[in-house]
Amino acid sequence: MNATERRIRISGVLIALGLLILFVSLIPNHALAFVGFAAVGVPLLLAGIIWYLISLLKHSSES
Amino acid sequence: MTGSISWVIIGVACALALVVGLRPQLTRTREGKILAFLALFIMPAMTLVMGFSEHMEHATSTKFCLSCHVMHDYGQSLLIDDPSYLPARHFQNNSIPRDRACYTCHTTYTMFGDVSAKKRGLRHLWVQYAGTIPRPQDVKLYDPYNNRECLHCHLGARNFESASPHNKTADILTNAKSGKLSCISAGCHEFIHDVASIKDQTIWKGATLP
Repeated sequence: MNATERRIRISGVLIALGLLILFVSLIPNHALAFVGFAAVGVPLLLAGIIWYLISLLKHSSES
Repeated sequence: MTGSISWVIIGVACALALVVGLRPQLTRTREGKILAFLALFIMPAMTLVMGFSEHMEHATSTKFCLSCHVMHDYGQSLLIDDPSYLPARHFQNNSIPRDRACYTCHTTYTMFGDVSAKKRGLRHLWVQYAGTIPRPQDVKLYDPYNNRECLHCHLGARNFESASPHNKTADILTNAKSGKLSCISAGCHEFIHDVASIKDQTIWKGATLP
């Protein structure tokens, strides 16, 4: 596994975790669920997306 | 309850992200690269927007509003067994949807208003979970209650236009419609969420809060 694939693995796991939190946060109709989504789910999703875009940029600069 | 399409989209997005994350070797082919772009960019970005939209929809429900401890007495005020209390009368007679009772009359409150209202909404969440929660009777509206919230249902209705208290003098209706006279001013519909006296009130047992 090369460096790009390792970055993609991290990105995929972050996004899957973020989506899992989004999924769980939509079950209860409670203010705490929104807090969980906004404070944990959104940062994980954004981190995963940004990490994926970084991996694309680094891959193109490496090759 | 969240729409089933949303559940499916989130589930599919999660599965795709997991597949690409656990098998990054897939991206060695052209098809794999397209799949990765879909799974790690398009789908998460789409579900992020969708998730926020679903949460905003949840936030319009009575259950969501009453999930904060400070709102408990405001919820109880919808069940006061006295028709002179305006929110109770509206809630008990189904004049407003019971599952959207708060949002129907407070359309610009916290997350649903402008940027400053949204900032207040986030501060309310902070206070609820990390700050000092005020007493229910200390909770006040930031801005005077806008007659617009009443008029979007009552304007033009016969029982509003021709009600004798509204026509006691010629300018009452005109001033109410222009916002010069508040619907909830003293001598008009002044009994709103009187949470300070909620413990002394009789509670109507005919309905339960969502």
